[in-house]
Amino acid sequence: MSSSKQTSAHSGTWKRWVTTQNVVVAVVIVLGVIFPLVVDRPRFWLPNIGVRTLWMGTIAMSLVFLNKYVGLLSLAQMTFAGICSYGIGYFSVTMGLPIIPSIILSLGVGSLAGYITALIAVRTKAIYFMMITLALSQVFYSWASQAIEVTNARRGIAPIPRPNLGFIDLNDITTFYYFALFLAVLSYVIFRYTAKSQFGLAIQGIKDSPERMSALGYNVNRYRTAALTLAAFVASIGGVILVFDRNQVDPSFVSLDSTLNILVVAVVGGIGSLGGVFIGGLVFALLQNFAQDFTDRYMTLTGLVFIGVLLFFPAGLVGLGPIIRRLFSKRAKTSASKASSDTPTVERRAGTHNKKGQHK
Amino acid sequence: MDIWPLILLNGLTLGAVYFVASSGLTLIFGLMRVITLAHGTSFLFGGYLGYVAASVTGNWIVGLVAGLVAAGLLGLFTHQVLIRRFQDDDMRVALITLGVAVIGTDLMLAVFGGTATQVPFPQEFQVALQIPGIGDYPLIRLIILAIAVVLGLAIYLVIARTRFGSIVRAGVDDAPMTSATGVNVRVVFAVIFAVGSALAGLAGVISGTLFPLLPGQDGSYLLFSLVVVIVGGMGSIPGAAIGSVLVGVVSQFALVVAPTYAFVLTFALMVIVLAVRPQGIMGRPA
Amino acid sequence: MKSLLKKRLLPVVAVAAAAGLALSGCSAGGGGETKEIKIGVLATDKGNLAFGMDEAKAAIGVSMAAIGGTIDGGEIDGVPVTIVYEGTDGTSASAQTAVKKLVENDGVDIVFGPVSGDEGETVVQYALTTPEVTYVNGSASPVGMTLAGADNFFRFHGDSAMWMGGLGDYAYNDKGYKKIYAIAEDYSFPYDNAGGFFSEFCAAGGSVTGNSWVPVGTTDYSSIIAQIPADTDAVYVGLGGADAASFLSQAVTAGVKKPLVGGTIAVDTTALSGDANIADVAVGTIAGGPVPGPDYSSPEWQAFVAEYAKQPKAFPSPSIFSILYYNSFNSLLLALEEVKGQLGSPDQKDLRAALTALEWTSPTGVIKLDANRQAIVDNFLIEVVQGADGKLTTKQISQTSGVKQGTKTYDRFEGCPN
Repeated sequence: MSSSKQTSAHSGTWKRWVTTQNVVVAVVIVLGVIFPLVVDRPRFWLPNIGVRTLWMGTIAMSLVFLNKYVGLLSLAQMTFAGICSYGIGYFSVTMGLPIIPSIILSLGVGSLAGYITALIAVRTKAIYFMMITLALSQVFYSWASQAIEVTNARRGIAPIPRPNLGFIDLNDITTFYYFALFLAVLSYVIFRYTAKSQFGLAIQGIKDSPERMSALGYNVNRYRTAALTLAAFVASIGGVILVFDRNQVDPSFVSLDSTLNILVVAVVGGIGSLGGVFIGGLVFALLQNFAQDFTDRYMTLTGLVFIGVLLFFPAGLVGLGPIIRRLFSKRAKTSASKASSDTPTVERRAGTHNKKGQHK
Repeated sequence: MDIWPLILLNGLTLGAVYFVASSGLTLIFGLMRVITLAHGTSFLFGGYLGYVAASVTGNWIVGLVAGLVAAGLLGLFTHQVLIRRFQDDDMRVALITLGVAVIGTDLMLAVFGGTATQVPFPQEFQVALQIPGIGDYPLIRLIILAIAVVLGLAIYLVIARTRFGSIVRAGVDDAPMTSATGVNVRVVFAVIFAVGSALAGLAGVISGTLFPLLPGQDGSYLLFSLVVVIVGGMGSIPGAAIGSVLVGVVSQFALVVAPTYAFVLTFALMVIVLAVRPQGIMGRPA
Repeated sequence: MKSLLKKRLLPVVAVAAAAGLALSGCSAGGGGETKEIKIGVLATDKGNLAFGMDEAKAAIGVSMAAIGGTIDGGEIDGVPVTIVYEGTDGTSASAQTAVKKLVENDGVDIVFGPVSGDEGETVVQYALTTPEVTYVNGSASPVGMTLAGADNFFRFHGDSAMWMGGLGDYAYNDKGYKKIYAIAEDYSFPYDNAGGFFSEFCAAGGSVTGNSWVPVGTTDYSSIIAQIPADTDAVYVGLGGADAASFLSQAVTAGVKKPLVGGTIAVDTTALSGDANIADVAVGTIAGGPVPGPDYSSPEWQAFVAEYAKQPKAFPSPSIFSILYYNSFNSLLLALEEVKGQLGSPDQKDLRAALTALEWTSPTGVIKLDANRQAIVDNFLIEVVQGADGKLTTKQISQTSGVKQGTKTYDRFEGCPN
């Protein structure tokens, strides 16, 4: 799945893979750039669809990174983003600090939250990890709902206006959209770069066989902790976009519903694909805005789509690409099998970690 | 007046509700090594159906049975139709059951509405009992405590003493080997999944008798059940009992000492246990 | 798009209004004559307040029927009125999504709503950024909403502190409660609601024997009930919905003998009509709010109740939401009739002047606005009684006229609010 060495026999396919993927990425970025120019009502489409897609995608991407490269499904990513949002509200509005230091401090606080979560949960695996991150996210939600001195409880912190950063004025919605797009692309680049670095290869090795890597002298938990902290940092970047999109922060940012929405975005987009989350985010944002025009039961619809994706397209909507290609292309067989191996399904971990679970 | 014994008893009776809810979750996990995130859905579905049955017949016991059966059937349906093919893939099971939970929440809201309902119970139970050192105490809470204790013992005895129990225990230890000895593990899995869901449904009716039923409780009881089994140790019935009592008692004391942070303190219990003993109090090392 | 049009193209628009403004789907933004009025309604159709949308439509139906229209629109002095609806789930996030969609995508001239307090505070913040749109509140009641300085935001009902107007004095002087223990949910609505009650009660000479601020969604009140001191005369119940139902039924099983004082949403019709046998503790509870008892006899009230009953999906009696939505929507409609459907420009100034000057007799008494565009209204005190059929209902104790807004927003407090 992720070969750590590029042998000469593989280098040809390797290069072609990079090219195909990069072309797709470039096309998506170009679409992102021209989006404000082609929509008829930018003041609606940019915040309600565009910016929302970007922050949901960025946060979901941090979840996908952890699942794909570390083999851990974290349900605390939305919480890290929310913690960063709260940080910006607290530092800039409550304490009155200038906005740029507030943002930098808040990114640090969000990452620190990831680090602390890692300390608590990193020793556990797979399904335990998911449950514990879910429960931890609820700890923060309960606290944020009540801590009137810090979070202003249910009322939250408002207003948090979009700032003029000096070199860039986020008050203008188009500027803000491009700012968000830049951050989302930056996050993607960070993850792509990390995945190919020494560190990235090590964590993938740990994911495939923690025992072997441990025997090779790698400190497994330390690598996982670092990966979690990085993912929390990127989720925090999502939190920066989020807080300036909403212009306020309140406990609903980190509620169970918000947490699950991010998971739905990741799964629908493709839980094995870093970029696919933006498709998931776009679909979700469109559903949130327009589904109620034709159905009252839009959560049922969302749930059905979610289950349908899990049952029939485990690689998510980006997994449809190879399927469609297979239908139309003669060369499809090779590329589809490659693409599907690049977009692994929900990790099958029960067997590797719990021998008890196997029964075939 | 010293209120601490009373609060302890309140914690125990609340723990009783948590135990019935979480025992199903831990049973399913113990055998199948999967977590069903639709557990809260079974809880609320059972509660609502129990409410309907008890209201129509005027009989509380009928309500209990209806909730149990309804949630059990829902569990059986979920298992057979959606997750049977993937039951080795714990992550996918968790996510599919999450989808079930999302749909369940929405449909139950559509059918039963957003206002609170409460399962009616006989007037004779709606009295206070004189307990030495505590004073008047609602009889219904003691009845529910008794139900939980009996249920816990029954589950324990079935697993420890019966042939079905021995199959379950063997399946927990080594499913492939059990299967090789001719036991139809698939049937056992289906039964356990249905029973686990049924227990959640029973908990829904019990909870709906003490407290109102309303949308959102599916999520909160799922979380409480998760916290209980994380604290007590996943897969262990005695662990679920210990975890339930701890969570119940801590939440009641927290409500008195620091009501504002009652939920936070309840969850903090879990963090402390995890920091000290990641596998939970009665759990075996993962 | 619409504000861009206004800022840059205003002179052009005046000339070519009809053609130019078709782009934003709105024909009232410019300097010329109003050709069409589009009203966007925010109401809850998901979550625990999912019935809010039906109540909003019932209220709007009653109001529109009076001018020969329907819930989808009608006509005022030849100007067609369209009404579009956007559902929310009661959270600030969904209200923000929905209000942006109404204003930016649907291009409405007037936003009417929302339901919950969390939503209301968000919508006011948004109103500050869109001065060209007029906002008329639905039923959101946080005190601070009309103190936020949004001069395009109008509220035609009382805030949650005003809803307690008169109850503190009544509890101390008429009921003779000298010491009260407070149990309330821990968020902004109960802060304001309890703040309104206790500031009056304490000023009258009463004292507070303790406060329990419990998290929303608390189901087990047995240990809270155990803490009520023996020398307390009454218990203030600042809970709503399911939490109130939980408390009342557990108060019965725990044998609470103290009389209760209810917050505005503690003893509404949904709590009283539930299945739990709560008569023992609920009877005698006094409460304050914008809804009169069913025995209230003003002709406007009787007419409203009769019309309301004809609406599809109406409750047996109007809830607090339908009453507030009706009073607010009808205020808007009266102002639109006053200006003959011409909103005026810039920034709909004629409509806003008419709203500000409006004074009319609503089903719940005379409504007029103060300088902050906050209504001065009548407030009602009610008491829970057991009807002849054994069912619980409420009866009117008194009506306080001309209740004005205080300028204080309340936070969590211990003892008396300061």
